[in-house]
Amino acid sequence: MTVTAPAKREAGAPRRARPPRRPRFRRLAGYGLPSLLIAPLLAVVVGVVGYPIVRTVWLSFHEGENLISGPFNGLDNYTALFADPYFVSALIRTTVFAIVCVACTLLISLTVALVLDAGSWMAKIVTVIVLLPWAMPRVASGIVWKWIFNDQYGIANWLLVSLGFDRFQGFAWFNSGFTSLVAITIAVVWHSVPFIAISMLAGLRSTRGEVLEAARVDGAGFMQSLLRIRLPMMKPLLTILGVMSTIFAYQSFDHFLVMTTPPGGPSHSTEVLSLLTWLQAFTVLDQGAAAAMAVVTFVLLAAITAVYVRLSKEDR
Amino acid sequence: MQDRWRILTATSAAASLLLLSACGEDTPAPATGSGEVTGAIDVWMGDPIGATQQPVVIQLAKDYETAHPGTKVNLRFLGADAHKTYLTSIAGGTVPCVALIGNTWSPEFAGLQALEPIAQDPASMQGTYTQSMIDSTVLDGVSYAVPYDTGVRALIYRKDLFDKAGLAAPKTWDEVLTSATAVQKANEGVSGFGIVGGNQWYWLPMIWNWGGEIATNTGGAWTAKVNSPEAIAAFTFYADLLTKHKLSPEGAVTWQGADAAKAFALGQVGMMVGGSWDLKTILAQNPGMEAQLATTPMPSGPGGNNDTFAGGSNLAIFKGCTNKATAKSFVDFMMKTDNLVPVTTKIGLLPATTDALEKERTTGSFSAPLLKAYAEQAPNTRSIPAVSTWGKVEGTGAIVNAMQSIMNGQKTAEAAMQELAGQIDAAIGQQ
Amino acid sequence: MTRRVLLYGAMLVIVVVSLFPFFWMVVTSLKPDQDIFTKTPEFLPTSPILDRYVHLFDGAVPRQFLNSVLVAGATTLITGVIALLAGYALARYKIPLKRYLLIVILSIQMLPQTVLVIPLFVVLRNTGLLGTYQGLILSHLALTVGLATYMLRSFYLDIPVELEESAMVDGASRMKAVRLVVFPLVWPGLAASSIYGFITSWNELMFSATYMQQSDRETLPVALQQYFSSYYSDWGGVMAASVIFTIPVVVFFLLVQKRLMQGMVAGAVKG
Repeated sequence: MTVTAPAKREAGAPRRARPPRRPRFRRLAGYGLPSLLIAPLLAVVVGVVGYPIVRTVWLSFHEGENLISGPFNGLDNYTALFADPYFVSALIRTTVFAIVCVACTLLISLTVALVLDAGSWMAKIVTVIVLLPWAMPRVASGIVWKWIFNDQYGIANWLLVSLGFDRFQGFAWFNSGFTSLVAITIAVVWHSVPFIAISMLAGLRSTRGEVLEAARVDGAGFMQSLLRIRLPMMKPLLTILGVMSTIFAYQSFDHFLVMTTPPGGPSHSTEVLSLLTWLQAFTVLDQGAAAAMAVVTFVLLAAITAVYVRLSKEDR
Repeated sequence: MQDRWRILTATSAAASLLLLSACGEDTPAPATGSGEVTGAIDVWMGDPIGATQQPVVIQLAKDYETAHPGTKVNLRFLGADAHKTYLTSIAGGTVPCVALIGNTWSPEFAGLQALEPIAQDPASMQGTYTQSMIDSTVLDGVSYAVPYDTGVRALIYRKDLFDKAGLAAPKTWDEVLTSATAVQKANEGVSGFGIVGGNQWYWLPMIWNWGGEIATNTGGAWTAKVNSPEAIAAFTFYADLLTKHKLSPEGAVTWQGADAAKAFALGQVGMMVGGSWDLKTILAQNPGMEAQLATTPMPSGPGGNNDTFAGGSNLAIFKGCTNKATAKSFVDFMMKTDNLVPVTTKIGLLPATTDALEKERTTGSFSAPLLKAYAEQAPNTRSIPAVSTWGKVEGTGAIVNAMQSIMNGQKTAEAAMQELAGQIDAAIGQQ
Repeated sequence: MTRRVLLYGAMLVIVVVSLFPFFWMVVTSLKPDQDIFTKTPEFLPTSPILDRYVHLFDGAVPRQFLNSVLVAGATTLITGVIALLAGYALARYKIPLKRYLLIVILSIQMLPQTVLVIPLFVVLRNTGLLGTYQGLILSHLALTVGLATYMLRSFYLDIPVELEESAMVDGASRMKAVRLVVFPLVWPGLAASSIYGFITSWNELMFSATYMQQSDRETLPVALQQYFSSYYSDWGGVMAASVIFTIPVVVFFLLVQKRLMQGMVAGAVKG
């Protein structure tokens, strides 16, 4: 692939094809056919995504005991939310968790991608293997990692003790919020690295070309050309991947549900937004408060998305 | 099975979805209000029915279908989040016809208008069922469920290790502490006491043992009492077993009953509070242990009693059931002594009908020496506040969180219990 | 030379870390209990047993498996069709507000599931679709169509427009030109978005756990989660259930991995 500035343009189609394209196609068909083609998509977007969002916002301004919509109650749900120390700490915890997850994911992914990019006959097979964890269902991977981190029979403790860290003899990872989050972070990162790493690999491959060759001829070292040339070239891609993994991290739900006892415990120390919202809705049955939590999450992620849209400047 | 047919209809429904006629309905609801015992009913089996009991229940359902031609029983076994599953189905209007529900949930579901009344006057049930279980089915003077099984906890301990150390079965919580410490000291690799930090039913009753209350009812209004000095002392004592006396592995903060039973079966625990079902689990995992263990009633506390929680399940019929005639006939079928006992025996619980209970006590599985302690414990039971919003206390894990925060040293016992009292008040006091 | 060694060393670490949880899951599911609960792990089962699998297949697993296949299959299929059509339109035509539409489509990917879970519950309840396959499939579409459409659009963009035009000049109708010339070229993109859709739907827990209440319609993630929460001290059994749940995705993945890589590479480079 010889694309030099990915995502800056709709690359691939030969450039000379561009000028005549639009007029000719407009002649061929009016808006009839294209509307027909995107109608199913629009139906889904409006029906299953658009309406629910509007509805959630609406619900967040109403009482909602027992999952039945009650009267309008203004900002009550929101004020109650921010007065609740557990919600506020869950908000902070989720954010910190997301930042750590993203940082680890991106760094590890980049390393993996560089190793694979360095190439060799093995790289092809390894690439397939690297992507495998992505295919393991999240519930299953949560269970396996919980077993690996089991205090008595877990292989993680055995390994750490064998390496000389005697403190980990019977160490209970899920007793405190911090160590639970460490275990969960490892599980989540293990699950999210593959997709990001392979995408980065593709990005790295696309930076190979004249510029890189020229730099090498000029005597630029590996690190130098990576930091000065290749990574800057991949900036749009890195932005997307960063945002994607931020959002995945914010949405982590399955791992938390499976790995903590009680969900979000011990003593509220692993409660994150997604889990708290779900419990609020379907255990406490207060859809008003839950909707308000969902809206807060939504606004937060929308802000991140906005940053992304600005940074990557989508063209038409 | 008619499964293949269902898949076919569903596939064609999915195909029609593809053609964007998205509003199809694939199962016509068979609304037979005729009172005839025929047609299909959904039956859900919650908590105590585990893998080993499933075959018995499946067989019973088959027997019922054979005895009542034209009926079909769709069984579903729920996991530990059965409570949430029921709530979601109530809110969504997708309830089953018959369900085995935890006895503490009965007033809650009844309060959500989800259950069909069983008896307008609960007094009419007296004599037929265990009294504490009848109490658990009642909300505002009406009974909404049929008591099915009942279980109590007692102490399970390693008789061989106790004998070796010259210890007798502990009678008080203080003796539990001293003997557990002695057993742990004398036996390398054995924890003195199996702590179950993740499940409140193993230690919440200690509040009663210390002379306290969970909540009291004055003039119809409930007030939490878990911030009383007695309750704080009880929780502190239990947390200390782990933090100060280190009588369990660190991980016991999040243990469930099954974890303690597993550790006990592996020979790593000297003593634990456990239900008869825990005992069954232990013996199923390690049959050789039968000669080594013994049971004794719960220890008593400073309050002078050894009361424990009357656990159990009730069979309920949901209001949303469209085939109530079959549902009622199925419940009657399940409650027959000959059908009830095989299931309760398999779970390791006592049946909740007096007839079946008598049979189990005298000639049945509870006449065995190991289970005698449970029969002795049975009169010393209490039930939790019978209030429809109690489920919120359970569902949010507030009690477990309080205990865990004491164990982890995140909060002092006073602060944790004060907060818990606030949460309980918020949940059940608002009526 | 040292660089080679370093490289191979790094690859080895990557492979071990990627595969170990799979390996450990399978091994644990095959070991008898006394070999599972040991202080020093046994890496290979000395006396493997298959009892747990037999037990699982006697229960509801086959049924749950079918449910999952049905839901994930239908979701994949419908997603593919929608994305194939819309992707083409978005790549080839001038559509009013297209710029915003693209942003919206991409933003769907950024939506927290919790924003959708409550109102969709209400919608499905009111339309009688709660607990039906269609209801769950619809909710899964919300998670899949956005990225799938976006991915396919970038594939269409890669196909020179002249190809279609020359076919049309040769007398083929537009439909025929698209069918004969464009679809074969866009196939890797379809494969990529298909597996994306399949994996998303197969693994989805929150919607499935909330909406599928009927006894015989549980999908595997829900079943596995419930199985885990009730029997989690039975690690062998839980691992066996996890293996059964993982196998189809891995097999499907390995079957289409070549196409998937192409698709992801193209998708990634274009963003």
